[in-house]
Amino acid sequence: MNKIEQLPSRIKFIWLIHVFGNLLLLVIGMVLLEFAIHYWKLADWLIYPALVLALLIISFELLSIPYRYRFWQYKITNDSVEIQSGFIFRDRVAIPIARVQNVTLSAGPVLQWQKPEKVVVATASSSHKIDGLKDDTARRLRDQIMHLALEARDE
Amino acid sequence: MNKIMNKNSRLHPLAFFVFLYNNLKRYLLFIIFLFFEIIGDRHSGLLLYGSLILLLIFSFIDALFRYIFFAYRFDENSLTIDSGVFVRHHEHIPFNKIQTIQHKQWFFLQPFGLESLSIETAGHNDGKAEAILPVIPLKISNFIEKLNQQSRLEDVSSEVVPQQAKNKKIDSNYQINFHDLSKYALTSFGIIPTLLGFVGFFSQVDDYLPQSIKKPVESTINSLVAQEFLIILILILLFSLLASYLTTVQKYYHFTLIKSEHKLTTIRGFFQRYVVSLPLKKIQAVFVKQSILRQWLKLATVETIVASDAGKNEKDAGDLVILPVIEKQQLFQQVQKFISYFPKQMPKLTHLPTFQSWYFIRNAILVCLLPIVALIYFYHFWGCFSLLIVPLVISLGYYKSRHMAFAIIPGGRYLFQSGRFWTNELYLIQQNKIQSVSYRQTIWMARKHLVHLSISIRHANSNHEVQIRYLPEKEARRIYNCYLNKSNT
Repeated sequence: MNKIEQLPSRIKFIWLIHVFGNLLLLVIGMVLLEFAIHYWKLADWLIYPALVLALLIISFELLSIPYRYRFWQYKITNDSVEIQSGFIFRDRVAIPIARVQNVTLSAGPVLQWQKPEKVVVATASSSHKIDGLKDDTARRLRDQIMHLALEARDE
Repeated sequence: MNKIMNKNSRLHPLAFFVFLYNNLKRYLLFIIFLFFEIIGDRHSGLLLYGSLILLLIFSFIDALFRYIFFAYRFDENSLTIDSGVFVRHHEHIPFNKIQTIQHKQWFFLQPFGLESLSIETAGHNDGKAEAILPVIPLKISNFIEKLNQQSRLEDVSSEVVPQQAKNKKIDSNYQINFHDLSKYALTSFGIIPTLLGFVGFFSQVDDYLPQSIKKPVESTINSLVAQEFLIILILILLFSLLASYLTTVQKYYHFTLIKSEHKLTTIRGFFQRYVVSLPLKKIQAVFVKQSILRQWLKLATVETIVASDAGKNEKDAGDLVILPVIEKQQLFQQVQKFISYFPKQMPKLTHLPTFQSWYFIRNAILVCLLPIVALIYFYHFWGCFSLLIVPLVISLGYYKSRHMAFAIIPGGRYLFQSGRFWTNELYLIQQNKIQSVSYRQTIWMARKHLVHLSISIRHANSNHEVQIRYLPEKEARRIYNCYLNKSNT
């Protein structure tokens, strides 16, 4: 698999669920703010800028999903992991597998339900996240790194 | 020597004074505050004197208890330290887990043959990776060091006598001469903190001094003519210069660097002799620093960036100064003696095209624009003085852009140069110490084929990024691909 790959398309759905999660948090925040305004007798109009801000955040998150998906790419070869993201702000990072100290696969409730796993590749100094990988790809990456780690290597 | 092993030992009684000193140092600010309150005659005296005396008594008793409850013992394989009054700590350190051992010796401990030992292990639980034996006999600290080295040689049969295990072979060494040290001290910017200290001190004193002292002083100052005032200013300046000079000289006094077997050892200090050794393979990068002043005098400082905290007592952890000052001409030859992969001479650097300076200058101006606008808006006329920082910032940006450069050296080595705050920084990094390389650009940079290239290396226990900004895409690709392909083989 030496070609550039996209995240599994299911990740868009997962991101969508995350946006709804954030929406819920913001709604709770709004309710709390409303209470605070009544309780401490703050200026009534404070709620409006907060509402506008919340709406902006949510719509930005919603609209950015296809963009994020389109430009989020990764490439795993026998010796290296490359992760690329963004179009307006492009970021591309190369991590030789020999430098990788550990790989963490994790999945929150949403990811568990939808199967992909979040992968964090950590070197001795930094860590890099791949938002979601199909579970077989994730395991393969982990095994590959474990295999290399077992071979002798300079520190 | 076996009789000192497996036995609970107490620290030397002088350790009590070290504990006391540490306690007093901890409360120093509070003591100074109390002192000024007392001479300032602000509050009823009894309370203040009372708390000062209580504080002193507390420090004294605390130090005494610390001393009494501190014990250590060791055998061939490990060192155990028991400490703590209410909460007892039993620290157990296997020798083969020790990363570095640092020896510190205050001048007054020398006649007693005592020193302090800091032991650093690899465990990084909340920065408490250190065990300290405050005052122990040299005999014992050397013995511990020997045992440690022995365990490092490892798997040699366990009956090896320590003397045999260590036939110290010195590969190269360097000692600073006083002339160079003076030059280094004179060109350090240590004068700025000293001056600030002065200003701070006087502004504090002004608040606290009682009228009886303040009056005559004030009237003398008022009667001074401009000329005399100038003389006082110059005196203060000279004094700060002297203070910063002496501090630096005492810090790097008799600085010696020794390379033996697989480690570097630095020895320095006048009042406190400070010995650190560092395994060569812990070095993540070699870092050459030159402030603009030292660039004119053709002097440079060489540091190493280290994966452990060996340089803790330097300004920031993870840097260990290996050559405080060296003539630029000799730099490459000298460093090469100690760090074998350092190039023998300055490789040819690829600089940014001249036009790129514009981006650095623009960014620098943009950053300072907001505070300037705010200042002018709020303070009108006086706010306009903030415009004076614009030329300063422009020169910073220009300096930075002119110093951005890189070179790829055969043998998987990379040289990166950048300029920050009128200081030239040169990093030499080996392929296998680069943790990752990242390649960033915005859509606007993509149109102009420019890239920010960041190189991540490990620094102490965290990440350090060396960034070459606004690099032409072609060059950035070259480094990026070179890095990826090299690591493939």
